[in-house]
Amino acid sequence: MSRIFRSTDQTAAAADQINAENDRTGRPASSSISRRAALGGSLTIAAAAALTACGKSDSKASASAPAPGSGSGSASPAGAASGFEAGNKVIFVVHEKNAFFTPVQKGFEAFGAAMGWQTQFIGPASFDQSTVVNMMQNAVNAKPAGLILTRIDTTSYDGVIKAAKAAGIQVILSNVASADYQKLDVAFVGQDFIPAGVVAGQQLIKAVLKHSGRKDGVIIIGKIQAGNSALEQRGQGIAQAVTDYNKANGTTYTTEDLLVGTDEAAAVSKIDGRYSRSPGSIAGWAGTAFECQFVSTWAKSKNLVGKFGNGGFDLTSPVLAGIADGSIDYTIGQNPWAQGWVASALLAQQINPGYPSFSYDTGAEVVDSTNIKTVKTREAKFA
Amino acid sequence: MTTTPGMSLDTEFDGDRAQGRWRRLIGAHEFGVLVATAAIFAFCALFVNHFLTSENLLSVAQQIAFIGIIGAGMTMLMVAGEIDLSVGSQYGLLSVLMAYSVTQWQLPVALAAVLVIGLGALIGMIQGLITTLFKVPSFVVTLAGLAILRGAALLITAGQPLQGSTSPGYHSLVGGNAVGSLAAQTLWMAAIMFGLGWVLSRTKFGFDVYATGGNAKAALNAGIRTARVKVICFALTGALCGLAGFILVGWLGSANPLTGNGFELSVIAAVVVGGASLTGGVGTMAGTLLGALVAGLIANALVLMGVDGNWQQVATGVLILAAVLTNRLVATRQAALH
Amino acid sequence: MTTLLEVKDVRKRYGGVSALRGVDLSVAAGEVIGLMGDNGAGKTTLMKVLCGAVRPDSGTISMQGEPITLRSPRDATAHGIAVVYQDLALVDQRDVATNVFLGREPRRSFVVDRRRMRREARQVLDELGIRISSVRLPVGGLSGGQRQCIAIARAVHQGGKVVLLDEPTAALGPEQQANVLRLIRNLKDRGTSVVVVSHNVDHVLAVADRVVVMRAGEVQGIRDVHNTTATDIVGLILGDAAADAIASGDIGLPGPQASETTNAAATPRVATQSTAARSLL
Repeated sequence: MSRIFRSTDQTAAAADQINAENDRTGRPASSSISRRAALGGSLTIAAAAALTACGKSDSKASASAPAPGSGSGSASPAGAASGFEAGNKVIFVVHEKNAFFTPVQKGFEAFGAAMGWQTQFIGPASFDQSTVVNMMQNAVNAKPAGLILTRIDTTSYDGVIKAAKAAGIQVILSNVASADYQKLDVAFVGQDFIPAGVVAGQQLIKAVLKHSGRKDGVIIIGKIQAGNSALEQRGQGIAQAVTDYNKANGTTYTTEDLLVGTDEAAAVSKIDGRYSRSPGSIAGWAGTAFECQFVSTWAKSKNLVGKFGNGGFDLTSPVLAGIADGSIDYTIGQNPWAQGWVASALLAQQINPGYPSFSYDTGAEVVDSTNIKTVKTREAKFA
Repeated sequence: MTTTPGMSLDTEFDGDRAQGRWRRLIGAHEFGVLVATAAIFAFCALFVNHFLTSENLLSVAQQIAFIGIIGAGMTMLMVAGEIDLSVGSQYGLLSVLMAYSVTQWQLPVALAAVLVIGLGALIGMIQGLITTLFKVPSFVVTLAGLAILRGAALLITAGQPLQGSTSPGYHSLVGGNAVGSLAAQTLWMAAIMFGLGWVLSRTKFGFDVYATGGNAKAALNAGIRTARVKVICFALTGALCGLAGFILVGWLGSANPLTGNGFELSVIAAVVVGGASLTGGVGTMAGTLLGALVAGLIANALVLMGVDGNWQQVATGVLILAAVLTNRLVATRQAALH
Repeated sequence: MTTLLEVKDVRKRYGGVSALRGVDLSVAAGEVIGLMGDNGAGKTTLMKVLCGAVRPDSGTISMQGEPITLRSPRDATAHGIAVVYQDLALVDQRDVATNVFLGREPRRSFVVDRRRMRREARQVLDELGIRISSVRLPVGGLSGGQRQCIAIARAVHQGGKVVLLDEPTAALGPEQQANVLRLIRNLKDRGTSVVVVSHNVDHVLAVADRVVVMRAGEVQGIRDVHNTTATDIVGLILGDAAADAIASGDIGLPGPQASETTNAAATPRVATQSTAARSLL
């Protein structure tokens, strides 16, 4: 299967983050608000944690690391090709440390534990380009055996990736790679957005046929953000699937973009506005992220569940709940666990014995009523 | 009347002589941050692997460049008794415009730089004028600015990162290494902070800034045009955001519309940790530099120590609290010393 | 004595309220004027007119015989009229020298000459007999009296020929009040004119040459301190009705007979009171 990794950016992950945070809060508020609310709620805990910060970080450093002080574990293991030595330091730097990355981190740490690695998963609380570069630079300065990075634009991180490789550190990309990452001679573990969009488009047509059997009408491609290239590519894939299906089956579906945003109330009113304009025209709602949960909220309030196809991306809990109650037909997962676990495994063989890695597509897992129970049980492990 | 000079030209009155260095040091507002810097440095040098290498230290110096450059403007603004919450957004918007003007409009790099720096000054000036003319607290004005300017950055780019210039000359001017591993950014920061530090502590304008922030009414009565002083500080801060954008785009080769997201807090933290007061009239450039350095050292050391990234947030918060408490202590002790 | 500052028929209305209804005032060189009056009598408005903060509706102000127009406090300063405000007007975080020179720092082009500033500040303090251990001290840590003295020193140093003092002794301890009153005398000795706005009759009588009493926007009376008493002044301040009330014992102010409150005769009881304040000097 050929892979087309186009330019992607941080907003993809921001969307994912919002996805994932809904998981926790159970409602689609904007990401920063829900995070701050959570912070505010645990103010006392934070204050207590702050008091012990220094002591704890010290003890943690010395406990988890043979490195500080002794300096044994991390001495350029890339060069030492003898045996699978434990104690290698591997650092995963993400562009924004948010709840989406929880399964990624778990996968990374699970593999690291199996290898006896000293793992470190870091990233800024909110995305800022130069903060991310600084963190990556600090990670390079720590002289680890390997680095897993998210490359969310096509130039900013190249300097530090080159510096890492020059220092003999093995590098692999995860989650987002952006165009031309191959020129850096690194591999990527993550979703291929256009093919994932095609899968989503096929699922939506299936749902439309199931609900209404109609062979025409508009398929609304929902966007939570404008100009997010990951979402754009998923949208492209959906539109492509619709065109292909029309050609093959003589149907006359059309597609139309609708920007709904991430705020639930605003999104529901936009969805309702579009529906009211021409209620008979809509065949289905194909989201590029978690818009389907807004459609679900709206359809339930208007008693319209089951009149259209409705689906989206990622495995957040409102979306999974919607699939369970039948208000959402499908969602497409991107296997975040693999983005940690497989990336680590590929990195491990780069470190020792030293095989080059090739990119790995974490796929487009279709979740619908047939497998929702299994998926819910699985995802609950990261809650 | 003017006192006739020439009466005791060479001798200063005994009591007016500078106090002993040590006494002056512990009375200074920067005392807290100086101790923190020294303590953290010593701790890292002793216990953190890979810390005490010239490359690592120089990369810390590089990492604090943007905080330092924008912090220089913020220091003057906070000494003048105002605050700019929109610096992160300004920096983001101006970075995006820098990239946009060299790629979309094909402007020469130098012209684009003048454009973004000028635009930054204009944005700062407008916020300053709104603050001073309509007597709206700058906190509110720049909070609005934070939202508006970030929105503008997202609109211009449609949310996508923009490619910047690939001109090698531009890159080496702002993103290359000057000597060995000493980054060009570090030198830019040093030049800006030294220059503005001199302006703040030595010039008539600097004295006016302190008077304006210390007691605006008194300054006004003394004939200082406090509104103008504030507007200039706003414009200067805006211009420095433009300069930071110019440097960032040359360094990284692209501009993200989310550049500087939350950056205002890092900048304000550095200035406050450096001894400046949110109520104005207090603060120095040296303090801000140390404040930025402490933040940079902590960020660096925590990664080197293998500490989970979230501790960095906690550590920064603890540092701000500790610095403010130390400053309070210093103020009390200063009163007791005399 | 030559007349330094002269105010003629100055009027000012705020909406329907006449704050000043034709005020005349003259200040001679080296003269200390005590400006008194109840709240709302117009003293504050008059001070604001004199320092350029408020423009009168009509009337003239002249300095050394030359008519002047005061559009702003800067104009007033330029003409040698300096004001020391009630709420001080010092920058607490800055040192004594900087405060003495606030807004007019000596400099070489843009750079402030800090050495010269400290030296000259010390000279000014010494000349005025103000005792402060170091000009490097931030003024925020000094006593109220010292701060008041520094504010006055600045007014004088910055070329004030007439210094307007707004309640200079309010909110000060007795010793500090004494220091401020001594400073006012020093100013007078140096030939600087002073206008003191105060509610404290004893303080005014202790330092002023003449007392100007305002009531309801007009000058109610002008008294030479040598020919007046505290009771006389209080009577002028309060007006006839109130003075009658005092005389009939409705208000518990110690005083002589009603007929005497409005004339210049001294009474032993008030004189005794005044001595208490004078003894502080």
